[in-house]
Amino acid sequence: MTERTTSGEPTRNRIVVADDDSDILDLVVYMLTQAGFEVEGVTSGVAALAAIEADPPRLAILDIMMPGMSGIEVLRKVRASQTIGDLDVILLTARTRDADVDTGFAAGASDYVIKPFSPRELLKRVNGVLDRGAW
Amino acid sequence: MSERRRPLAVQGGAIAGHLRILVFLCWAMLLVVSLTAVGSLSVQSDNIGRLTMIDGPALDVNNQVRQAMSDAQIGLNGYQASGDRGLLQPYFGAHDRTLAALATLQGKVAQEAVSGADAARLKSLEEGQRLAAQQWWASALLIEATLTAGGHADLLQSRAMFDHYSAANAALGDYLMTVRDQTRLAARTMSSRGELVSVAATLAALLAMLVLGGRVAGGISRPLTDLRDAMVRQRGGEPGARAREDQGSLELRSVARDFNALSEQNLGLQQSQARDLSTQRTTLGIARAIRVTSETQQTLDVVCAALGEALGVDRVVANTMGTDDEILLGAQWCRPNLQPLGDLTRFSELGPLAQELWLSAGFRAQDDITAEATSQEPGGALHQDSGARAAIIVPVGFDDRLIGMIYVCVVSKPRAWTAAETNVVHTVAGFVARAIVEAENQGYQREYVRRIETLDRQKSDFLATVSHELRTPLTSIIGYLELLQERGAGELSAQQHRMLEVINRNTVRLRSLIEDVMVLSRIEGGVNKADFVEVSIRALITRVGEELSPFARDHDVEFEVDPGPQAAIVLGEQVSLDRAVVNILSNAIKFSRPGGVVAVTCTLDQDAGRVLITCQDHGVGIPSQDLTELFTRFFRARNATDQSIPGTGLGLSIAKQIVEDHHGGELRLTSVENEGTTVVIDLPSYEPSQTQPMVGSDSVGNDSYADGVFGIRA
Repeated sequence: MTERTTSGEPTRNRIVVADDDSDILDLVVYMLTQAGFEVEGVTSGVAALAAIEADPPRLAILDIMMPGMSGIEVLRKVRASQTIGDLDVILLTARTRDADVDTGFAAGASDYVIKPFSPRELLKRVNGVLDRGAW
Repeated sequence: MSERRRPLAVQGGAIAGHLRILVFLCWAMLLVVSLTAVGSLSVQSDNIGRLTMIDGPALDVNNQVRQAMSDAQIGLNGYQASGDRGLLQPYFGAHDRTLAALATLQGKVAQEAVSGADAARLKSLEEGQRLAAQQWWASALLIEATLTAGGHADLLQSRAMFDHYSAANAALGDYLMTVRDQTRLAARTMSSRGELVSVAATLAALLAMLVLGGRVAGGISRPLTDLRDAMVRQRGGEPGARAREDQGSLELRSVARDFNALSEQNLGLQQSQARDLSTQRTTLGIARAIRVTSETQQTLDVVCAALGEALGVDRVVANTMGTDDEILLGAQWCRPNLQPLGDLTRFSELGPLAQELWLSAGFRAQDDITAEATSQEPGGALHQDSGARAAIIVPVGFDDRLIGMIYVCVVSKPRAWTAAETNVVHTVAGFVARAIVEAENQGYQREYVRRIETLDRQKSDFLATVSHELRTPLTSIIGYLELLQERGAGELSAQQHRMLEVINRNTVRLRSLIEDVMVLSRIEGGVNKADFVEVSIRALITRVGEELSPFARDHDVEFEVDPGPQAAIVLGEQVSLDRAVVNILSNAIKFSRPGGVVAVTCTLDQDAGRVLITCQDHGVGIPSQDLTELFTRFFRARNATDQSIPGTGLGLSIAKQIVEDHHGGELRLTSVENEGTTVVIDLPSYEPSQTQPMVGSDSVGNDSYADGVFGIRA
């Protein structure tokens, strides 16, 4: 866990997680909460965007395949925004095709984690992203 | 025939005849001349013989007689005058001479008489001279005797006798000279006559030859010149040039006739060739016009117009027909002054007619269509409606399939269709058939490609969906499993731990299976060599080694990695190559015993142009009887299943497909049970060019793409 000290930036360890599969969502939320983060879980892209805009987190973990707005769309909207454009985003998805990975990174993802994943690994990735962001 | 100035035609008989006459005349001339020459020569020689043998000598002898007589008389006179006996010598000698000469003369005169001179006169003259001579001698003898006896003689009488003798001798001599002169004259006359005859004969012959020559010239050289002239003009581009058949000898007239006949034949041939060429050009033009059409209706329209113009007919109708011989598409063309036909599909009987024509490889060409005939036959309705007086119907087909038909007609009057015209229609029918079939094939091809693309897309979508659907529940399973195992929900009993371990092992299997199936479906589609890039094996091995380090650690296996030289480059697909190497290495790790070592080396054989990746383990190995089936899908060696070593049985098969089918390399495996396995991946090396992008950097860790895809592994 690291803290950002830049003024105006949130210093809480808030993470927004979005996945339409509630089992996976519970798993991730539980894991991250155990690790000490403040986690908000949502089941749709629209809700994710709302949660992010309402209270900008340190990190967002988004599943790609969600009904309504997909994770990539949310990512694009986030990146397009002035206020939260540099939010760290990890894409969490079962889509492993090269084209999908490229699209994800091209849209601005900080990392791309493939399901099924080991919760331990996910945590390592989350810390990795947050650490990088702190440089 | 020549259009120019016509010289008088000379029609001669056969040249052979003329030449025969010519030769005969020459012979005749030669004969006449030689006979004349011989004749005149012989007469000449006769005359000259006479002159030399008779006339001359006769005169000579005559002179000799006179000479002898003179001598005698002089001798006698001298003796009488001088009394010198010695002077009588010549007198005595002369007597014999006289006698001899007279005898000779007599003989000559006899000869003379034979050769035609006035025999009687000669004879009398000669006798006269002889008598006179004899008289003198008689008197002379007397006188001599008298004188010798010492008497006295009177010479007057003797002189008178001598004069008489002289006169007789002169007369004979004159006459002999006359005869001689006559002979000479005759000889001269004969020779000049002979000359005349020769000259006349020669002249006559020459004249005859001139005349004949002229006729021959007229009979040969003029017509020959004319013939040659006609030939030269034909060669120079006047195919209508002909030789005159009314002049010249028989032979040349017939040659001229034959030449003209040949020229006509040749002209006919040239004309038919020109027609064929023009037909070819026409059909080529139509072919070109058809080639640029894209739809069948357009093709038919173009064909109708092109055929109509090319053949100079009044109407052209072209149809395509369906499988039941019904008319599908129709097109028509007609002259501006005619009304187009209405709905072309109503001529339903044309279908069966066309079918029959196509199957029998026939066609219809009617030169004169009459009203009664049309009402009975199929196609009659079309004839009537179009007002056709002559028509051609040609079926259009391909192999044994009828495609349509072409109908061509004229309305004003009957027309004798030539083979060239029906050929044009046939050729065009062929073009149309080919164009239509090609269009159909292209249509089929496009349809086929579209369906394949659709299927491909559907398959990709399906796989993506399936993969997603399979992975999602698996995520929860693995996730919670891990939490449980990490005592996230409390402590576990040993038995609970064991049970969870079983679940874990099987989720790993399930995951690998999904992974491998996804990979398999991806590589099943083959590989597009155009997408190949330069792949650094050194970087690849280093990366894979790092990726699999956790895995190796979990199995208590140590890695010995020699990534090889910088220059070990292979042209290929990086993701696939990574996968192949990962499969091999993970096998090596899985089948090693705890504490074992897996050695991975990369070598470059520059001479042979090969890059070798060797992976050696000292694990459980593979039973020899399983080696042959090792690469088949889902096959797992007995000792693997016995020892519950996890695996899907796809790893080797996938690696082999990637290395051999996609990259043209070779995968070699050797193994001894309980001693270990060595796998060699043998790939063709690649000489790097400056422009190709390098995939797989040497420095590890900055390639987040690779991390993202391969980072998380059980």
